[in-house]
Amino acid sequence: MITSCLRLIIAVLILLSPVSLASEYNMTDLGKLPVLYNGRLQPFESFSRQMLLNIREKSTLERVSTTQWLWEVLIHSKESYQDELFLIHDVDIRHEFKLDDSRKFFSYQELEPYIMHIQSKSLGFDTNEPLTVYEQNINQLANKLGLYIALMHSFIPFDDITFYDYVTAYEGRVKNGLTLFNQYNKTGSLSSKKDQLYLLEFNQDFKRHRQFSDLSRVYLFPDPKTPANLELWSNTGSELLKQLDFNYQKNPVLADYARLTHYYAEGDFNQFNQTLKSLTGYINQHLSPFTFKLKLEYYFTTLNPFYICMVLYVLIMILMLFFYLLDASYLYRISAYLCYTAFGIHTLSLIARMIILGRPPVINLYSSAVFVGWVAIALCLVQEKIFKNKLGYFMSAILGFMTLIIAHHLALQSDTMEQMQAVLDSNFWLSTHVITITLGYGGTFLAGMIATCYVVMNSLKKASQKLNLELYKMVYAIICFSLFFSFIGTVLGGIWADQSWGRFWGWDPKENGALLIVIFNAMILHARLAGMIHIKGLMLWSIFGNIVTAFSWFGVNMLGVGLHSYGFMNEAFQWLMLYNASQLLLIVFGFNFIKSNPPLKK
Amino acid sequence: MQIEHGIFYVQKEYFHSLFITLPVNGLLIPVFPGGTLLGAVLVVNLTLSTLIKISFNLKNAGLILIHLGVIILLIGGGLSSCVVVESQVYLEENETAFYSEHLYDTELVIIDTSSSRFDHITALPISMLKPNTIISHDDLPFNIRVLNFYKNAQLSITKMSEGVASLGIGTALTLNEVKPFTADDKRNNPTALVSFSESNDFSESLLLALDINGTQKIQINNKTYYVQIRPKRLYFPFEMTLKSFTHDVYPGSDIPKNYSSLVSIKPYDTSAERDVLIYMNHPLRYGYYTFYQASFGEDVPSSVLQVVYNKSWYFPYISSLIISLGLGIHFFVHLFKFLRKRS
Repeated sequence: MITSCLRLIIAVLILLSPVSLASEYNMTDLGKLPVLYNGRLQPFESFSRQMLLNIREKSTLERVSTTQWLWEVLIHSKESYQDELFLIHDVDIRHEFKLDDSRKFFSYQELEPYIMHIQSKSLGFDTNEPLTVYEQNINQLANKLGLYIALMHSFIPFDDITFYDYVTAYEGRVKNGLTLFNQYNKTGSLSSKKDQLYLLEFNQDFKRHRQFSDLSRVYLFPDPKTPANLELWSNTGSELLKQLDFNYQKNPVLADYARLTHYYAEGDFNQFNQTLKSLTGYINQHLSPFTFKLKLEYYFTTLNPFYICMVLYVLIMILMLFFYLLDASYLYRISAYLCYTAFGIHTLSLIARMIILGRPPVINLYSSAVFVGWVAIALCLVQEKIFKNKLGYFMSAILGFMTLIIAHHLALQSDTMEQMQAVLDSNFWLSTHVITITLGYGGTFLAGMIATCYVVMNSLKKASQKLNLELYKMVYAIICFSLFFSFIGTVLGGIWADQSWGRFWGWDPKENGALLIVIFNAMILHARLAGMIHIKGLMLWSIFGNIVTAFSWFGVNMLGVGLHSYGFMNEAFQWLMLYNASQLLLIVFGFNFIKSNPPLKK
Repeated sequence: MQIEHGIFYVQKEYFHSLFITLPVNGLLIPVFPGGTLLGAVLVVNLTLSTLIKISFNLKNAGLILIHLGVIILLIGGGLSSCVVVESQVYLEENETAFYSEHLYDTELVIIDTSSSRFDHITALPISMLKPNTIISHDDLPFNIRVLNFYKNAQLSITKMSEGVASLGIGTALTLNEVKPFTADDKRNNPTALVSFSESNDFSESLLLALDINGTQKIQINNKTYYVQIRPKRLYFPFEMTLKSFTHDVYPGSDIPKNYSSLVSIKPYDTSAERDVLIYMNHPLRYGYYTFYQASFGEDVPSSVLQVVYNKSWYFPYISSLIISLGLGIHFFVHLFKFLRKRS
């Protein structure tokens, strides 16, 4: 805890220091360079974290920074071959390839002899049948290796020559090669053996670059004439192919990247940093519409503010627990300040994400988790202001921590800022339907949280009649809030569905899930009105609301209808079941051990 | 259930039915009430409880609106499950269409081409074809006897000399009855063995099936008719031509960004011809018809549009508006009351 806090402070200090140390490669500037990957222009740093996360399932490496790691992978540095990257949990796989059984991470060098074997094995699986755990693991490993190899092909596939030397040699060959090619095309033959060999080699270059341009997904080079047009960006293969055009203009970005590989190989960090400076200058000048967002994203990824929030929320939880034990009012005040700080950071980070993406706050499961937490905390803080029963900050901290930890695990799956699929690409619907429905989720979770507090405090015999009544009012208000927003959200979803698929309601699992929340909340309100439930009943039903919401939020994604439910989702399913079981336990416990309050007077 | 059977089947079986049944020894035993019954009961219950339980005064205006809205929503839902017609049209670039085809419903058509100005088409819904019945229709000067009918069948070219029918292509075909498919991506092949005659001499037989492309010719009383089983058609009040189809991806990736079809519409009435762009989340509404970008062809630039004909499409909109309004009024009235009480 303390070490991670210290680390954060150091990280912040380093980031804020204006002069980077001059005796090192300037990885900060390298980290800010733009990369077009998966349809999104992003800083090199985000890209490298995402790649490392995909391969290592962790976004850090002990030896070097993520940016430097990816750079070394791109240029085939010997050190990067020895980084222990590939996570192999499966003991059977470790045994199969006679790997050291005491470790979980293995380097490229260790796995290299088995790559062909692993890849062909993974291709041979029958995808019509559900895969066994072993097969899934082999598939996963094959994908990771595939990604790593694809990254190594971003510049050139050779170990023994730098990209700079390769490009220089190739550029030298282009003119002569083209002349010979034209001559061959006209006359049908070449006279000298030497020329024939030359053309053959040139043809090999052409084939290789064709293959590259088809396979590599890493787009580094803007079009020199219209750099801001992302459609015209190219990867290394297509950029080298373009040189065959007689009107080809030298691409300064390609030249600079080539020089960077050269100086890095030479160990000349002064020249490296100089070149980087000129490259950054070019980017800033020609890609001005994107530079602000790129920089913002760079700082956003390196600071990782949601992680800071998570740490703060844990801190608040501990402080509040001490407060409940010692009853020292300064602990409460500190918690209050910390809670507002954490919530402030939470809010700012959400805004930063919105600016970077140019989209409303919720675009995928990951951001829904972050936003659900934010909504619940906001409501909680409002209620603390009104009722002042000293539970608000504690509950906020728990809700914040829980939702952010869920988000953290969801982030392991894919880029959290991924591009939207065509049907979702509508900021209007994203900002109306999705927001209102998540407001409903957030509300129901908060109601469940308050109810949990009720159960805990009553079983510890710490709750007065007055407090119970207050908690009851809070839960009631929140359920009304949730019903309102989940209904509006569901209706807006129906309208969106009517606009894009031609039916208002199609009994799709996700739709049914949303309807379930509406009906559930309406049911609680009706039961209360009819006098079927009182304080205890309302509370216990609200805890059940946690299960209903968790089911329609995540559960329906795991039903496996139209979705591949393996990998993380398998694991997540167990967690969901565990969560549901814990909530049920809480309900049963509350039902048996808490004395019913006398019926409320109307 | 849905993994096994596809959403259309599930909807029909569970939500658009009176009872959810379980087959026991060939008998269908109702186990749970189906969506239709549940909805109907709910409407009655809601109406009565709104009338009886809620006192009609201004304080309860929100509540009354909410319940009224829910009643309208349910009625609209029930109505639309009866009146909605869903179909698809496949268009290659520069192709023109004036009808779309149902995904599941089929019909038997008898076409009389003797008039020079128009074809006289008689369409019989496939549900009329029951084995061993005789169908007569006012528009037809002859009777049709259904010798046999299969919901789904597999046709294959016969190796022996005799086919299943005595006329038409069926003379060279044998058929195998197959259990009807329930998955979304498989289409049934309704097949009928029929006989046409104006006197009641049903000795000849003709094989008709959805899988048989094109019409078959029959001669009755020296007059030629063309018959076919084909997907039920939904005719548009205009002609539609696909001018171009585009499929955009995000730069440097395979992630689809947008699909769009530029179509030109030539109405049969006097209104002017116009071009419309149909794309994701932006369907074309024309009267009760709505056209959506649904899919596209892989090989040639082509587009698949989903066509929905729904006379009750505005029901959910109206009811949602009423309920939202009611919820809003009720929620805010109470919030203000609560805040005033506290301060």
